[in-house]
Amino acid sequence: MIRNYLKTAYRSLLKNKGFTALNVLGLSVGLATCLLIVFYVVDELSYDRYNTKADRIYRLTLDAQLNGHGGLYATSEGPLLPAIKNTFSEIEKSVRVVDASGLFISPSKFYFKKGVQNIQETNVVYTEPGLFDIFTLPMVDGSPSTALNDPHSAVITESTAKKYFNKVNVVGQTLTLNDTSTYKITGVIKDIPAQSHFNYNFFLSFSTLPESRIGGWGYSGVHNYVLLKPGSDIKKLETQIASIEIKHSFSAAAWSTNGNHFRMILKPLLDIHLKDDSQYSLSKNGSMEYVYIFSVIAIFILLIACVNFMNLSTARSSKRAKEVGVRKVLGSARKNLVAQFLTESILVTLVSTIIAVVLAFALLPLFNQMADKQLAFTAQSLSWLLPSLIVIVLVIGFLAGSYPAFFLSAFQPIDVLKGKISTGFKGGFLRSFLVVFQFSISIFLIIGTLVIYNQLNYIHNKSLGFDRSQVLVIKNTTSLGKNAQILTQELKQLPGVVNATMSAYTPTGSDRLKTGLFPHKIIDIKEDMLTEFWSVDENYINTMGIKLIAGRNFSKNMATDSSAIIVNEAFAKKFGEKDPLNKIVYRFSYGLQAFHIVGVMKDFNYESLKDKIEPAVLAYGPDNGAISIRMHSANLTTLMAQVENKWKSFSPNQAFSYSFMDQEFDATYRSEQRIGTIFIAFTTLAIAIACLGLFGLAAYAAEQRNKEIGIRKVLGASVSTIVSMLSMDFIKLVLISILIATPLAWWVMQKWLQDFAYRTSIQWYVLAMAGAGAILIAFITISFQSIKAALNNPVDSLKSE
Amino acid sequence: MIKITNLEKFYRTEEVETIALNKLSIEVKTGEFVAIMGPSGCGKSTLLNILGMLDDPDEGSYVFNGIEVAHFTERKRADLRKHNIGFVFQSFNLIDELTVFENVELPLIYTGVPSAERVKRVEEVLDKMQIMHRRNHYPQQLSGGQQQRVAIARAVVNKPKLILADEPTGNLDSSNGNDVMELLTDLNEQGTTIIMVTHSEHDARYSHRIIRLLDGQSVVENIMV
Ligand SMILES: Nc1ncnc2c1ncn2[C@@H]1O[C@H](COP(=O)(O)OP(=O)(O)O)[C@@H](O)[C@H]1O
Ligand SMILES: [Mg+2]
Repeated sequence: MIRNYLKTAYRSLLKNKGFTALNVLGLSVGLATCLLIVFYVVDELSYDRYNTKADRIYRLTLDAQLNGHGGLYATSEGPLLPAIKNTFSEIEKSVRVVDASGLFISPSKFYFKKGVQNIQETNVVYTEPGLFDIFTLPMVDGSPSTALNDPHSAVITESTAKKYFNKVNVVGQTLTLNDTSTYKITGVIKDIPAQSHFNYNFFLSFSTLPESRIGGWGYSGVHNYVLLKPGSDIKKLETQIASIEIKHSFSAAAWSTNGNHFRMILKPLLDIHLKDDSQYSLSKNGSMEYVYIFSVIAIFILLIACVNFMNLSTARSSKRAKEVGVRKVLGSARKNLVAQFLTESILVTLVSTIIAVVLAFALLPLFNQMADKQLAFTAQSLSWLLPSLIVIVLVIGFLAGSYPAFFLSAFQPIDVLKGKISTGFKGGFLRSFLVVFQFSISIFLIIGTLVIYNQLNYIHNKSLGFDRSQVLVIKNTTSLGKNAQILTQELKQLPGVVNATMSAYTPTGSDRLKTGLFPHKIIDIKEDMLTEFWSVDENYINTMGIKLIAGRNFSKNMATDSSAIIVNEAFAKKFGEKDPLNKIVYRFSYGLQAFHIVGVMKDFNYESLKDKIEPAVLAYGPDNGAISIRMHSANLTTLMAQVENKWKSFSPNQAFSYSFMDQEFDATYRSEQRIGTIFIAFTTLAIAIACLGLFGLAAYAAEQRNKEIGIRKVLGASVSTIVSMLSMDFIKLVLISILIATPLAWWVMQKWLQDFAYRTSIQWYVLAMAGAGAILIAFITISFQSIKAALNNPVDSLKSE
Repeated sequence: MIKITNLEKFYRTEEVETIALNKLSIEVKTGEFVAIMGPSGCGKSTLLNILGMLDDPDEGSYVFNGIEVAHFTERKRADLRKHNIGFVFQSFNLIDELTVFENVELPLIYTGVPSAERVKRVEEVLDKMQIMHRRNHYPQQLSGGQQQRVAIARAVVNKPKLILADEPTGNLDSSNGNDVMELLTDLNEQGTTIIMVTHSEHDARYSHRIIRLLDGQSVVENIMV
């Protein structure tokens, strides 16, 4: 019997090649897209799961609010863990991890020597032996329990070992850091899986650092992780740890007054990648929001594809009604017919699924590039993929085949053969509903894409308060020491260089320094004006193109300028003085310092445009972290070569590392850009699949109404009348979709834009464009069929009696 | 009104070439009622379609009201057709989704008659065909005879000069068939030229003249007395 079903199904599908092709094409593209997204989502959800004790690992996270600023912080204080680890029995193990951002005495740039060459490494971290008890980082050489005990010991990954020594077993070898200190390699671990919220190649012993010997509280650049005993009371522990922090903080009372608070959160390891909003988090890129969005899109695309399948099958049902009638007259039972139809649709789904897998496999590299991922088909993915594919084939095959199967098989043979069941095309309410559904999704996606693009465009063209074009930033100039200043002077002399300034703090860079300034000499923590505090030279403002709106720039010739500062408008506002010029503010770190305000500069965006411009202050003092030069040259290549030559003459052993400010700026929005690209791709696919369906439907509609078209032509209807008549039925559905999708999309995208402090509004023409676009695309799709139908000779269509 | 000379029409399929009309020459005068007869497949419908400008001939000339239309474009033919010619088919060819009224109204829409005028004319003709009481029914709800009345109403609503009827009684019993023939005769008496294809000698007797076709050629012409 099954064989018979298969044979009949095969023939029927082959006979209706167009129908089969449309179905297979739509379904396989939809499924392939879905597969890619599933891969992406599975990958996102698998972060940190390589840790066998993942469910018991937590990161200490601060939630603090003080005088209107604060938030969540992934780092907490250095002395905290030693203070609590033996106090609370719930804590089984603990480890402190300090990355470059947590170092303030030790250098935070890392150059390791290989031969004569110094190689800069960024994935370097200081940590303790507890790391290997908590995280599952198998050691292939060395002993995990002792590896990071002693100062100046290092554990590296396998690939790092190969990179520096061309072999894996390198315990006992040494590494030279920044030409000054040597580390003994005490362990080699397997490379950390890509799905990890941190990914380091060098683990150096924390005990090496002067920071590790700071006993006092206040040093808070440390990532603290704990492994808890099973069944620990998390809430209780959080309160207990918080109370210890508060006890040691500078003013325990401050935390309980006017809206201030201090809480400790034990962040589960498995939430860090996707559900962590805290600052200084080691994880990047992950966002539950996008996991949801993409999952929804995947479901939408799959639904659109399934809807096509259903629609085309039902549209075809009138043609098959006769077949059903004849079969029934010949004695076929209803269940046989149901089985027959289901066999057909499952066969189509199966073929589509196979094509989809091949397609997804072929598109994976492209998708990886788009999504910035390293997804791969592995034996392991096959183990969950195969069963789920079988389920998909059965479910979709059943869903898509069910309507024709159960609907058609219920026909009374007499009615069918007498032609009583006209299975009129127009009656298909379900079909209309499904088309509306498909187009609503498509229009929603079109609007989403347009809004994202408009916003990105807006960001790209927004005046930022500084001029990011043609500014070259030379990095890692710290190693030049005092010579950095001389290099800056010499670079400024180069023809084609307009100006040059020396400072690590650039508007597009990542170096930031927050400090508290106070309006009065007697420090009152309630008057803390938290601000960025950047050391710059007198050329900074001109090189960056920042505008002064009051006062003056720093001057070399004013002895008193060593304590001068220039503040931005946001700071001036916070400060609250009507005329901030010549006013004094105080800072209390390394003793009390007084600064006098010599200028006010226009606000410039130095953080992502997602955030409002916060107070920032420029202080006059040398900082040799980077050199920025403003260029004005037709021949950039020559100028770059000259700049590099200068660099070589100052620092022959170190690579010339630079970037352009406009590129740095764009990089800030790479994740939005990526989302934009992915959105475009998905939107295009969704629309393409929906159009495939519409194309098929239009074909059936035209076929169904063939006779009617003939009659109308005989009675004098023109081709254009017929075309518009055939198209109108579908265009109406698209219009309904527009009415449904537009407000919905507007609302959702409005929410998305809320994320940006600086944003465009959704213009009416964006909505209009999306609607018009959808109508146009639908119209073109339908026109193929309706024009063909309208051009038919009516004699032919009327003859087939 | 109609003069065709050496009209030829071929149908080419992959294997065979059929000569549907073979150097056929016929003349029909205004006000005539002509019946065309002949065995199945001899080219009657083909001839009627060409006369109705639904199809064009491969060779020969077709002069309609003094105008050579043999090689008119589709658009020009359609224009000429909708103002001058009404069709009645064996299978009625009503549109299932439209009511009786709407079916009859269609030709007026396509010739751009204003809506008020359309209502008037459709009601007039429905009245004449005695199917006014069925105006809001759908074709499936009518008997064959009633459907053919609607079809004839639709054919004449535009007051065409020529009515082409292809076996108009083929799907009707004899009593309904006679009614239809009476209607056609009435129309003819009011001045409409009628060309009708039929298999029935009985029906043919309503006409003035019978043209007999065989293999695409005219063999005999009987003048009725
Ligand atoms: N579209 C067509 N393609 C091929 N052959 C056709 C076509 N239309 C008619 N014929 C052939 O032309 C001949 C005349 O057909 P037709 O005019 O329909 O005959 P009648 O109406 O007299 O029965 C027949 O042999 C028929 O098979
Ligand atoms: Mg015929």
